[in-house]
Amino acid sequence: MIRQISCISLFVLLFTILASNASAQSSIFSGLADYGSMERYVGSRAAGLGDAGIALDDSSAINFLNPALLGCLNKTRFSAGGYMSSRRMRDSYASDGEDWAQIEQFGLAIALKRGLGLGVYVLPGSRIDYRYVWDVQIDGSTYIQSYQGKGGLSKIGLNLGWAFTPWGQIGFGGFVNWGEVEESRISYTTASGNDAYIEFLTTKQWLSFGGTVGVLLKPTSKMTLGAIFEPEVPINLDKTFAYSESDSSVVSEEEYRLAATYGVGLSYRFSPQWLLTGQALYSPWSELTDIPSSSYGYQDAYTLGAGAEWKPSGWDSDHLFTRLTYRVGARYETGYALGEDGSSIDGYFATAGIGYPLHKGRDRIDLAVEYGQRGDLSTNGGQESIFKIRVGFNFGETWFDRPKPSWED
Amino acid sequence: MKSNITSVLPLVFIFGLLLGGCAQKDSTVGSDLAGGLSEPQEIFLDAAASAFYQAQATTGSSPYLYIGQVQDYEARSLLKFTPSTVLPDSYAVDSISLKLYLDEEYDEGGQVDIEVIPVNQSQEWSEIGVVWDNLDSLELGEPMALFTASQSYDSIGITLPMPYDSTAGDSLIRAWEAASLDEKTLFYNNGIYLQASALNGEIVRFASAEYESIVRRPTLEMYITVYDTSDTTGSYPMVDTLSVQAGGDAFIAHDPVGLTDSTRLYLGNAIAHRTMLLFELEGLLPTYGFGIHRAELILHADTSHAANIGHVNGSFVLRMSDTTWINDPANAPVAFGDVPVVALYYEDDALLKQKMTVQAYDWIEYPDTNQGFMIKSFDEYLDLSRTVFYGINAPDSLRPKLRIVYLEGEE
Repeated sequence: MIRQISCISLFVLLFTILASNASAQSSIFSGLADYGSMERYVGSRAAGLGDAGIALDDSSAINFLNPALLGCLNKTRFSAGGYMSSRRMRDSYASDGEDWAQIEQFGLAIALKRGLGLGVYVLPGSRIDYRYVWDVQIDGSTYIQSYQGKGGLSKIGLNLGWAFTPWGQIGFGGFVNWGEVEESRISYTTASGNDAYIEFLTTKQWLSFGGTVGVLLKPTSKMTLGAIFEPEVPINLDKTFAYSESDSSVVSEEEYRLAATYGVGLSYRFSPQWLLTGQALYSPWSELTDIPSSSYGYQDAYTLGAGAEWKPSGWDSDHLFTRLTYRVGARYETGYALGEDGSSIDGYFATAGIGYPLHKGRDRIDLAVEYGQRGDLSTNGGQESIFKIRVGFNFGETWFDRPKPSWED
Repeated sequence: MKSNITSVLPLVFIFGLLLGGCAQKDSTVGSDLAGGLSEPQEIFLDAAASAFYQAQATTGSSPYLYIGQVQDYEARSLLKFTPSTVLPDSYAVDSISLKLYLDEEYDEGGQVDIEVIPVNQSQEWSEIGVVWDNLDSLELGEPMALFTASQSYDSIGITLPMPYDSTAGDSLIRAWEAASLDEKTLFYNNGIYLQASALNGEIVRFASAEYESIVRRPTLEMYITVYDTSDTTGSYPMVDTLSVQAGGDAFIAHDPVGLTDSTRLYLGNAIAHRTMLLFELEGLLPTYGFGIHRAELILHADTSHAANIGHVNGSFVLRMSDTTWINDPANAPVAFGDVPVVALYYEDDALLKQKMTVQAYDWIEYPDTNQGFMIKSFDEYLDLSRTVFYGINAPDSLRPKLRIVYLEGEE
């Protein structure tokens, strides 16, 4: 067991490094605010259900959004996954596409005892990957401007969930949001007599400590209600600014705020085969005053998701297709950073997924596809369509359950 | 399913490593989305103070020799030959002639009567360093020749028949030769002095020893009889003609009237006009985190001003050590150290744009170092010219401006 824990600890560390170094593909809108495009990964099952996972009771996979769900684990669970995506971007002048793949999530949850689970996870928190280029004419000379940013926040957290009654679970979590963003600002000209390059480099290191409270209630055997609350927290920024022509730099420390998040969800199992789920998340960004300036300001962010799951049979079905679980869902979200002319940058996504049971249904591999659009060309000046394939591995085994000695030997 | 998790973990981790960093965003699509991003700014500053003065510049490197008068300027020329480099051991001077060529490119000259005066012993001069005030014209001797030069001529030959010192019984050539052999001698070689016999507002420009075309440089032609006592063939004595080009020359000029219009600024050559300016940059930008594509001084020439004489070809700037130049420009200390950046002046544009990016950086970052600067012609040695520029009280569009195209990196 000590060997297992050491091995797990090592991989938690490695995944943490991997997550913090990953330069994920991100939205073309990610440069509108310093935090980039916020990401909230719920779980591999919810990925096929429009990300609606707050109230999604699941004993096979880790739910990263609601810590209360750890209370339903009955053995040590491991979840990890990644995605491949293809993004098509358009603005008024051109279109382009990018493909990307990366590991996305890692989690380990230990069932300390029946009804009490402890989990650790590493997830993306936000992503920044933008490159804006335009040119300016001054006195007949052309100055090409480039603004680039790369990086984002990662999130590592520790959750504890407790099933205090058969109909109720509560969970608490603490997490660290950290990350580094590198921005470069370049002005270039070939005009005679000019210094050709002006380059500014800014490295931003973010660090924030936050927490989550989650509940899961089962008022009936078919209905599950879930809610989470992440309070508004401060986030520290260590910023190093350098002008590339100079061998000196300016270091500053600033403190901003991350908005709170409120979430509620409902899932209802109409029959052993059918389950419907939905959730709503709300973050009041517009109320914040200590927040980095953005191009057009901030608005409150909403995410609405819903999905349906169909499980035609059990893991022991003779046919592959009836052993699978099928999911469909949809998600609507509003970005917290406003676009040009104060326009809201909205996203619409459709999801579908399957779950493939392993080991007599104790473990599961989830596949999910997501297709959607963020932004609108006429309203926001640009839009992007995203196609994403996610895979999530969910395995479990029993730890801390010493087998009884056999006296017959 | 023993140790299920620990066996899968390495595979997942390797999978993640393989996926990570497959591509990076290099598309510029979406560049219009982010508004409010900073762009290079252009600002024009007016000068807070200005001054100018004139000085006599050394012109030994000039390819021209001026003689005569233009506006209030008076110009004379000096020539020095070293005939010992070509003379034989034993000879007798029959006659000597000075050959001068007019500068073909110069079309502003007129006709000038010129005196040729041997420079006496007390008037020692060197090509680099001699200016008008170095020579006391009252101590010059009597002319030994007189000739008329016109810019329309190609060349002039001036016979110099008079011995340098009749009591010495020897010729000018023998004296110059003796002076240059490092032997004990009473002779000296201070060359000859060419000045207009009367100032008539006309000037001529000759080719100097630095003139591009070698054959047009000033030449001393010597007609001699060569002797050789050891000769048994009967070839000697032999009549020969030798020539030597000027080993040093310069034109010197002065402006007895001086500049009278203080509303203008000036750059000039030979009579070197130097202008000082001060632009206040303190507080203009943060002292760190800005970049400058270009900072330049813009001077507008007043091409209709009567004080223009030809035009300068360009300029460079020197920083001033302090601001005493505001009251005493001629004696204010200059801070050397910058690599001069030359700016060209184009007469058709009537604009001089002097790059000052390095200086602007320093003065924004370290405002205390801004003591103003001097702008001067980059070839003050070259010719006799003067360009008039509008001063700081001129209409806004004509005033001297410091134009800066800059970008701020961070608020």
